[in-house]
Amino acid sequence: MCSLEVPDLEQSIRAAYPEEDVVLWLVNPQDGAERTAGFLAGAGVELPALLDTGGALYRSYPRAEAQGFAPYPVHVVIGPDGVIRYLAFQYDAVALRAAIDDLLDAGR
Amino acid sequence: MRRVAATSVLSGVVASAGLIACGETPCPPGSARDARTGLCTLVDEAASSGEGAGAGGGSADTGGDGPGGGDMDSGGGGCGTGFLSGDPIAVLASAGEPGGPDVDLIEWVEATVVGDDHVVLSGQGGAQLFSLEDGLPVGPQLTVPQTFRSAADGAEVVFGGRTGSLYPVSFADPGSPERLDPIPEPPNFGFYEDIAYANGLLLLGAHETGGVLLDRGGTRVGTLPASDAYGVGLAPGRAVLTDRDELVLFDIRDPRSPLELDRLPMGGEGRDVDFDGERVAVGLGGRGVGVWDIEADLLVPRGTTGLPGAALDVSLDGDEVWVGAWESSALVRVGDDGLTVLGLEAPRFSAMAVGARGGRAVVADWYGMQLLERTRDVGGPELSIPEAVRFQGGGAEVFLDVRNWGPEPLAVELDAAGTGFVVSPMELTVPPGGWERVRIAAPMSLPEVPTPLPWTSNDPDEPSGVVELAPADRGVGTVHADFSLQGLVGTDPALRMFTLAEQRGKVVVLAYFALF
Repeated sequence: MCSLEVPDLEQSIRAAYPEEDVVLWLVNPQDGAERTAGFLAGAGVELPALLDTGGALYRSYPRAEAQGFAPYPVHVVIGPDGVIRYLAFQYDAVALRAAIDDLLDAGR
Repeated sequence: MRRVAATSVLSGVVASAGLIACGETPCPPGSARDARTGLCTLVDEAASSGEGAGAGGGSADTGGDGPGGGDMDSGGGGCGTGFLSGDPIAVLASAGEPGGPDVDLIEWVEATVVGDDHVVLSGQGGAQLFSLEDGLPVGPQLTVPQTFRSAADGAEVVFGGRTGSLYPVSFADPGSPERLDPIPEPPNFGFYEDIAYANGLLLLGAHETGGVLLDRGGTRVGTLPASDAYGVGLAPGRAVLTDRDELVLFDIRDPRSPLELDRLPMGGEGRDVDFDGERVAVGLGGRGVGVWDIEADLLVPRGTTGLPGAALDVSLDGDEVWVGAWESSALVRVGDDGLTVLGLEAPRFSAMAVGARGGRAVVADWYGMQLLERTRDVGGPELSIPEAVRFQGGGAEVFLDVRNWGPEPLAVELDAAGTGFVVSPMELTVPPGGWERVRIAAPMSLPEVPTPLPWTSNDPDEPSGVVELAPADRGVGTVHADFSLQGLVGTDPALRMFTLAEQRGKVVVLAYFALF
């Protein structure tokens, strides 16, 4: 995911769900603390940003079979039971929200 | 080396009903439309019996106090919630097929009109001029260090990337662009998000620093005060910027002492600005697009409208605005009754940016480009259907949502024969502006490879196609390995530890990103 999409994510996901139901963590597999902090400050983003130094976590997912977007998922949705329910290799806010909604609906 | 496929596939044009008239969206109960901003604002019960409650002075127009149904965020001086016409957009050409042996996989993110005949796309260290005439590349692809944003002053385009130097290129001879000496970044002003360039002046939208005015040599000549500047626009003697959710107009005839002329709330945060001196279009991200006119040095709202996707790039073209909104390239008309979405075109990848002139637009489509043309107003069904649906987490069923953005009923038939999947319903009619859901049940054992589900429709642009019924990714349905990582929150420099296992019981979304 390119950094352009982060402010949109804050609006389309963070603002749409209560924090006690949905945790949204940015994960940066490439840049260090200083660059990441500079970006968050510059973009006015208030989300937690985890530093996956070396990209080990990023590379722990299966690669996309069809190339063209990111080789590893950019969005991962994990259910309340810890099970991965959604992996997306491109930004698709509608599908992302649908995956979250499905999990929240199932919990009710 | 670069392979470019340019095809002429003018879509069929149907003679049909014209545009549907568009009424003003009523404000929700307890609120009223502000006469100055055009936005719905909460009405203070005690005060509303007296003078109007609008924040911008003047009396509040309570004409839209219907029984709900309105959307607080969709105000903006007129209608703007509907997708009202058929499909007046034709794809004239597209370029940059992915996966080919000799394709430059540039991630195009920015588009800027150069003169009347060309648009320059840029992204990931490269820039390429394209012709608005035939969509073909003109001249060589240039290596440019910073390409996140660009702006043109005549035939000269300045490229920049949030920080660092600016890189000017002259396209005076479009076939042989000339790289000029970089313009050094002035010290101490942090990230900027947008560039405007006119009459030898540069304007950068630099968050808390505000709008930074530079001369052509890079010397800072003035500052437009803002608490969080983002999108910027320049015209002779005038400048606009978005200050979080407000649009601000400045007199910059003396750039050393800019004068704020007007400031209005936009109903969303600005992400991109196009300004021709008389009209301002603003991309409002997930809130769509808004347009304001300048009359007697005041901002006059012409309307806002939502769009599929996030409106991050806008390009004015007369009484119309083209918008790059990731999921769609949109053509929006600025009319007496507000903004009307005339048509939407699906990008092949992602419509990151658009540059438009004379009824044509070049779209920065991530790994490709599209040349779009505005055809005459036509009505008809306008199909929106996913290219693929994926069975998640070993689930046995999945839903396929079919939408109709047009003013005429849409008829779709799905052909499940031979697929092994149970599809219900197989025939559906979707009313104008509506959607229908199709349930797809998997066979006993879900195939390992995607299965094509063919469809036909009465949308003249999209008479037939295929939805891929895809198995779940490997990884989905498995327990995510626990992890503990250090991280930051917002501007707090302190590092904290984040542990997945501590979030059990909540939905956790991980969003991977990196800085260019």
